[in-house]
Amino acid sequence: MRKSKKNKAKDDLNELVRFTKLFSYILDKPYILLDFQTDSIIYTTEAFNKLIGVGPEEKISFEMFLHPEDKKIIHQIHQSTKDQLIEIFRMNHYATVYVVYEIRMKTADGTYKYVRCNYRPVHFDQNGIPMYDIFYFSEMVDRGLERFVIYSIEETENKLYYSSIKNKFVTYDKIEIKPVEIEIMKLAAMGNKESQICKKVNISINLLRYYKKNIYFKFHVSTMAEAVSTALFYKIL
Amino acid sequence: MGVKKGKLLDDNLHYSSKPDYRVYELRLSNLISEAVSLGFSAILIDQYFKTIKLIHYNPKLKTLGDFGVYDIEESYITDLINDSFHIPIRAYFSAVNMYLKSIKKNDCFQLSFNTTLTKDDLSENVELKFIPYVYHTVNQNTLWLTFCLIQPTDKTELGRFIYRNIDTKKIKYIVFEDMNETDPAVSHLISQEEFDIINYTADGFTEAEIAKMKKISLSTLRNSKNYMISRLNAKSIIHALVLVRKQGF
Repeated sequence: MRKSKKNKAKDDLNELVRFTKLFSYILDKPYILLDFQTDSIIYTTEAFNKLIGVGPEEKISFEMFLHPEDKKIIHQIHQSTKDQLIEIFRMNHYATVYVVYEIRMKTADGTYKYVRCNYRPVHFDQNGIPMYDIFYFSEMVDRGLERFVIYSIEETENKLYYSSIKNKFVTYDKIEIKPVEIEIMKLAAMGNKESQICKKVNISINLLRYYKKNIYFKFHVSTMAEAVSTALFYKIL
Repeated sequence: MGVKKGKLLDDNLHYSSKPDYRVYELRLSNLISEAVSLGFSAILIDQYFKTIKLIHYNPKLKTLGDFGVYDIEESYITDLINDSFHIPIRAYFSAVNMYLKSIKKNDCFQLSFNTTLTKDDLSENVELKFIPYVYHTVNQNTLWLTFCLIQPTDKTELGRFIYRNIDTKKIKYIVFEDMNETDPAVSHLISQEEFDIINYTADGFTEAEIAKMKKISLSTLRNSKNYMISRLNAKSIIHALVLVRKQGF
């Protein structure tokens, strides 16, 4: 009996690997299969290996393709996402949900590129807890500042946004960048030091630091250089 | 009117017990989320209850109606296909079912062919891509769910029936013997090498030139050429060429 259970689990996993492969092929997208609990990579498709420039036999880890800064943020966010997903699936085992992360990924030519990483749980144990995730990566077409979103198709409030400030998913988190924050970023982009920015904007150093912290939270970044580069990417500056 | 166009559902599949419909629900919800996020349209064919779900989220496909997920009759799809295609379409669908049924566990392949969907004044060329989706393990891996992706294509000709093995990367061309009104046609797998022989011949190369290009001996070339011709039930290489061209290749 125990053996047959084990065999069934193996069969299920083989079936998932098979359909990851099939979908990657027919939809022409790089797919990977992950373990939901441990986040370990179980299977990567050829299209994915080609995207990040590794051989078929090579063991792949997240360090190989995630931007170091994004890795830190994702580490923090991913746990919240998982908790949120477990919550959703506890209410409805067949919920139609997908998660979108906008991340920077190291591609085969060694440069970092913004990609949309979509994922969803695909297999559930008897208690409705997800067991595996299927990820696929696509080019970013429309860009927003909501970098980490859970889409739930049945719900009317169908988007949950990750808020760095609250460190959890919230139903509505429209990110507004204040004019003063843009001014600070502009001044920083022109090479001004903190003290010079304070003088030009006419604020105290503590207030400047408070604004900077807010900018970091809004962009999910940790340095001014990253914030400016993200703002340039989103065409805010 | 009243033309029997094709059968997506296979009446010859038998099950000793009911498959686990929890798996079906989970796969369906996965497919829907994928379809919404990627913007594709597809049908999911359940061979046990003989039902078809249309998952339509591709903004480029106008003939399929409004976006959403619907239970549809088989005729919903076949009615969109031009009446003049009804013989080949029936042959294509029955060949698809035959190949899908013949799968072994963990087999990874895709079958595809082109057709045109027409509704009122709208007409769209699409490629139908079939994959064996879920097996029912209790019934010795009997095919249970089939997934068919409907994608716009710029190829206008009906046909180009292709078998792609995703593991070995091998492509085989499925060519029917002459299609006629009475029988669903018998199909054969033609390998890339055999296909090249037809194409080179069509381009006017002699046997000796083809053998040189393919780096094989003249007798090997003749053998594989004759074997292919006999398999296709054709009378000559030109007859084989006509069969292949008529089927969209």
